Formats: sequence, C-alpha cells, structure tokens
Amino acid sequence: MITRPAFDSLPSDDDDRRLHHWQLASSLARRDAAEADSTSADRYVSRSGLKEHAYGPADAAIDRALHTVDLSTSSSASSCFATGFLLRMHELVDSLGE
Amino acid sequence: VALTKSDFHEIVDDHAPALFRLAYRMIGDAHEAEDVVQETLRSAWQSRSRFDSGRSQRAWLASILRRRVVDRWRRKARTPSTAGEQGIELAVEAADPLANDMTDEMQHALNQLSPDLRESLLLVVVGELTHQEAADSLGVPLGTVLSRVSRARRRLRQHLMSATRP
Repeated sequence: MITRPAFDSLPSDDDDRRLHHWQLASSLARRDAAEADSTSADRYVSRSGLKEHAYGPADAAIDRALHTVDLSTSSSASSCFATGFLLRMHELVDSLGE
Repeated sequence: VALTKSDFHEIVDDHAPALFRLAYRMIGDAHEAEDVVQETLRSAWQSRSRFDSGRSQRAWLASILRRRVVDRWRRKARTPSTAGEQGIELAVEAADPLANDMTDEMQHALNQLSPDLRESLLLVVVGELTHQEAADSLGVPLGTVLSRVSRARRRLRQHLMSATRP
C-alpha cells in the first residue's frame, strides 16, 4: 500500500537537487508510460480513507516535484529565506491585535 | 473557544510552510506568496471566533488563502480574469525557464493545465488537503475533485515528458 508521501517542511533545493528531482520525475514518468496500466501501481488511500486512483511511482515523483519550490539558485540563500520566513510569520502573529 | 496567539504560533509552525508552497505554486512569485500567507494569517486571526474546531486547520487556512489569491488577482485586474469557479491563473508567463530564477519547469508545466485542474491538484498535493476538503473548498462534488486531480497528474506527466524529449 502506498500512502501519501512525506515531504520536507520547506524544501531548499539547490541546482543539483533540482536536477535530481527532475531526472527522477522524468525517468519514472517514462517508465510509467511504458508500462501503461502497470500492475505494480497500488491504490492510493487518502486521509479520508477513500480509494481514489492508481497511484504509482510516477505520481509520487510528480508530487515531490510540486513540493519542491526553488526559492533561489543558492541552497544557503534558500535556507536563510525559509528560516527568515518562519520568523517573520511568528513576528506577524505577535503583532496581531486582540 | 477562540484560537489564542499561542495557537497561532503553533499554526505558523504546522502550516505556514505548506501555505507558502501553495501560494507560490498558485502565484509563481516568492515575495507575493509570502504576502499572501501574511494576509491569510491576518484574516484567519480576525475570523478566529468562527473557526470550527471540528474542521481541519489546514483546510480552513487553505480556503482563506485561496480567497486571498483570488482577491489579489482581481485587484491586479490581470487577464484572463481569475475568480470563483473559473479558478486561478498562474502568474508565470515567460516561456523561458531561465527568464526568472523563481520559476522552474514544474511551474511552467502547471501553467499548461486548465485552472480547475490546476487548482484542484494544488489544494490536494501541495496544500495537503483531503480530496473531500478540496471539494468543500472549491464547492464541487468529491468525484469532480478526484477526477480533476487524476487528470492533472496525467497531463503534467505528459507535458514534462514531452519537454524533456530531445
């Protein structure tokens, strides 16, 4: 059974990781296309418990790629952005009036 | 019992990164996405007394965020217009993925999807709503969202594959 994939809290991909995701998605998508109606594809079960559709490795690769948000070509800059973003959101909450 | 500031700090830790990703994928610009997340948190705070504790916080916040994105698009009066059942058009217009460091191939692939397919996919995959929560947020039947998400993944895959072929 394939469950909803786990993802990083806020991806900070550098170019290498981006390329890796891209290559992975592409290769898996090609394999999936070559194996139409693949028997290895399991049924995806959502949090609601509904059986929804065949969810294969190519779908997982697409989902991972969707979760990968390139904020910068520099991984360190992305990491700083992610940290700064959360700090700014906490500051916003502190500033909210009653 | 209304949510407290302490609850909202937990909300930031639990949901803000996913809200940012969702906003980014809908808008295509990191700075605008952060602005939308801020607007979402402010709106959520102002309407916290109406929050149903039996409802998923993520679904509640994602619905607010979606409305903020639609509001933003209405204000900018971009064409084609994006609102309500017409869904949300992405901001990415450049064909060259190198034209903007903030965009990537996936953003361009998303732009090839129809608004209703794209929005359903983003709410479920990036916003991590259940299909039922996404259906409630969009005001469409569950089966419609199931079909849209499945078709959106298939079309994304086709588009990405065609883009990588020599």
